[in-house]
Amino acid sequence: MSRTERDTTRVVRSWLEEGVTVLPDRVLDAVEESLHATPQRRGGWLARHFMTRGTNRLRFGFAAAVVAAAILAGLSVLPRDVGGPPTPTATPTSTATPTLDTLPTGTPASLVLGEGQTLDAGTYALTEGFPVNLTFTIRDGWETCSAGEHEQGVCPSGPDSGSRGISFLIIENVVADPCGSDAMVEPPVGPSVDDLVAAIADLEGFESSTPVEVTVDGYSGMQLEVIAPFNPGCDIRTWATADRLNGVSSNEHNLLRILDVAGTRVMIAAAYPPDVTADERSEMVGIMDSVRIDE
Amino acid sequence: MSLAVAFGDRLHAVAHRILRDTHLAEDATQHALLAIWRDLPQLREPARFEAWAYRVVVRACYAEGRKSRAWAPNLRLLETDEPMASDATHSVHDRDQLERGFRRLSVDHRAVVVLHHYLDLPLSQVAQVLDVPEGTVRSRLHYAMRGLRAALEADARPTAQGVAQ
Repeated sequence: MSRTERDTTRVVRSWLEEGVTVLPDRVLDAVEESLHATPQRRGGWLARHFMTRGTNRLRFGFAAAVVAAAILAGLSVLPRDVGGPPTPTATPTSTATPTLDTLPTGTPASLVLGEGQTLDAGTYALTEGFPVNLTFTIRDGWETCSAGEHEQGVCPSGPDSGSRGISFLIIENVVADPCGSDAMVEPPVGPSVDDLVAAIADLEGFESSTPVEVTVDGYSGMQLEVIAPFNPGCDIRTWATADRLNGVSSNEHNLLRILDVAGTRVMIAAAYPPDVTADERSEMVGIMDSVRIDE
Repeated sequence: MSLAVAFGDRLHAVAHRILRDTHLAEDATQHALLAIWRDLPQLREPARFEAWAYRVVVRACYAEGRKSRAWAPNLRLLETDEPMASDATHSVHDRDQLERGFRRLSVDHRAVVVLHHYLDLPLSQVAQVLDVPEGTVRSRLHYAMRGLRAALEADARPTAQGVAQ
């Protein structure tokens, strides 16, 4: 039986109507608790009018700010049911950010493991669990994005972020088939920079640039860019630390710098979607360029 | 507060449909609400609130997807809190195949499907929410719907056993 495009659309729309439409109270409670540790950025008209202190007042402040914005946007937020055509709106504008070389210098703050902690502009050091003392510098607008001691990093936060991130990794091995099981290549990838570069460049279905030599703070290595296959019909697996197997999105780009730091192989990865803007990519390369290493 | 709760519901519904996982969707919604609180002062024009809020929740979905990229291969159907659609053509098999087909899509493609076919946003507005060209949205939607249609048709093809009978 062959379906028409209209049939498919009708079935998909009907299917999408099923499912959860109510946010559990426990999530709202968690949001309320987290508001204490979530300062607002730069006072604007809403903050000036609604920013408050104290749990209940924070909760009210959040509600008031969101509702005020929603009402002024002409957005109907009642009833709870989702659906119906929302009001057409435009895209928010981005705000200017300083260049990396204008940031204040000083003792780097330690990057806290975990996800979602907003970071101020400045220089950060990876936590002690990482085998190399490494610092990097970011502008405002980034947050922690670390999956473990051997996979630390930062991701953009806020309204102008995307599926991007900078990671510092100790890679143990790569998958045998990115579109297959979780099995790693056997024998495992050798310990050198060239071993890992060759293994990553050979990932089936990936496009790879020609690896070129790179030097980061005096440590030599190789740089290459790999592009994941476009919608291969599977979850795409790539490389693994001692703790976790990484995956990538369809058509995701990864600019990789793989360094030999006194015998320890360090990979710096900038991940971004194919439609990344030139400014976004430039900022990520700037963070990679800001890396300083102290054995 | 009830108004804010209602908007949280809307964001959660979007996250749940993109991620197809209750726990990931709750995390994404929580992060999105906090991000909205945190970054609201940067929003200079209230008229842009809705598109901006959807953008925030979609990006929270990207982040949750990133966290769970060592995906478990097994699939499970979503919990629902609503009666199933009564459309007779929307069979259990269709739903199962759609679930599988949808999970094979990237978050990029899922987001376009949900924003267009669930929220009824026109493609131009989906492009604004996602901050990508409208042509990219059209391409993603075409690819995603082709994949979902293929999933449905794969289910509809007679099996070898069925043909033999």
